[in-house]
Amino acid sequence: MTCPYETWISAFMDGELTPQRADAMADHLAGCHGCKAKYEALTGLDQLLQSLPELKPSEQFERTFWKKVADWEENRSRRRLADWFKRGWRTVLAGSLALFILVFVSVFQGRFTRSLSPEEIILAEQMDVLQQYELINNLEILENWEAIAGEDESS
Amino acid sequence: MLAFQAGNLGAFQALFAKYQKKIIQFCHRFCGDQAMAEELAQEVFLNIYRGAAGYRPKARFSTWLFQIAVNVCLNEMRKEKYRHRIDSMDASPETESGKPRIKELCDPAPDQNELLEQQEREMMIQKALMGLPEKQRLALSLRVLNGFSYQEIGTQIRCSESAVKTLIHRGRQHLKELLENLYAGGDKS
Repeated sequence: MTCPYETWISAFMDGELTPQRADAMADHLAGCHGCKAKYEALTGLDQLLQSLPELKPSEQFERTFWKKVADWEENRSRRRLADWFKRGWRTVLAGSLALFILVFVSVFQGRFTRSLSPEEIILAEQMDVLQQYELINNLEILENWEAIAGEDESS
Repeated sequence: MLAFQAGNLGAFQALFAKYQKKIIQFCHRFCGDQAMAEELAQEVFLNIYRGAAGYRPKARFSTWLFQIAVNVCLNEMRKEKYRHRIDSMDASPETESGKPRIKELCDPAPDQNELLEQQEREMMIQKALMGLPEKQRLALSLRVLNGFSYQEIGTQIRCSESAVKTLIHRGRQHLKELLENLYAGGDKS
C-alpha cells in the first residue's frame, strides 16, 4: 500500500506546497522511511539531470540564424511589393480620380468666379447708363426706321 | 523585448545572446540531437523575431520564450522526420557532422575513460528522458533544468497547475524507473 504523502514528494521538493502542508511533509519524512527513501532518490535524480554538461552552440549556429532572418526579411519585402501590386491599383485609381476632380474644380471655379476687368469696372460704375443698355442697344432700330417702315408699307 | 518591439535590433541581439544556450539545451533535452536542437532553437528565435509586434508583457519574458520553445518542439515532434531521427539516435553516439560528441562535452578534456563514462551516462539519461511521454518530459525539463514554477509551466504547456503537479511527479517516478532499467540492462551486458 502506498503512503498518502507520497504524492506530495515532488511538490515538496519544488517548494510548491502550502506552508502548512510543507511542515506536515517535513514531519512525515522524519518518520516514514519509505517516503524518505523516495524523496532522496528523486532529489538524486534532479541532481543527475542538473549535472548534465551544457551544450555549446556550434560555430554555424549564429551565422545560420542571421541568414534565416535575412531571408525572411527579403521575403517580407517581396511579399509587401506583391501585395502592393495586388491591392495598390485601387489606391492609384482613387488617387488619380481625386486629382482629376481637384484640377477640374480649380480650373472651372476660376472661370466662373474670375475678377472683373478694368473695362467691366468702368461699366459697373456707370450702372445708371447700363440700366438703359437695352434701350441704347435698340437704337439701331430707330436708325433703320425708314427701312422698316418701307417693308411695312409694301406688305 | 519591448525595446525590440519599438524597433531596437540591438535589444533582440542581446536577448538572442542571453537565451540561445538555454533554448538549445531545452530543445536538446526534448529531441536528443544537437543539430536538430539548434534548428529548433533557431525556429524559436525566428518566431520571436517575427512575432515581436504581438508580444504583450503579461508574464516574465522567459516564460513567453519557453512557451514558444514548447510549441516549436511539439510541432516538430509531429513531423515524420523527427521520429526518423529518434530511431537513428540509438545507432551511433556521433553527431550529424560525423565528429564524436565526446569533444563537445567537456572543456578542458579530462581522462579518456572519464569522458567515455560521462558520455555514456549522458546518453543513458537522454535515452531515459526520450522514454517519457512528451508532456512529462517538457514539464520535468522546465521545472528541473529551467526552474519555472508550476503556474508558469501551466501557461507554457497549456494545462492547469494541478495537472502540472501530476505530470512532474509522474515524470520523476517514470524517469527513475527508466534509468534503473537502463542501468540494470547495461550491467547485465
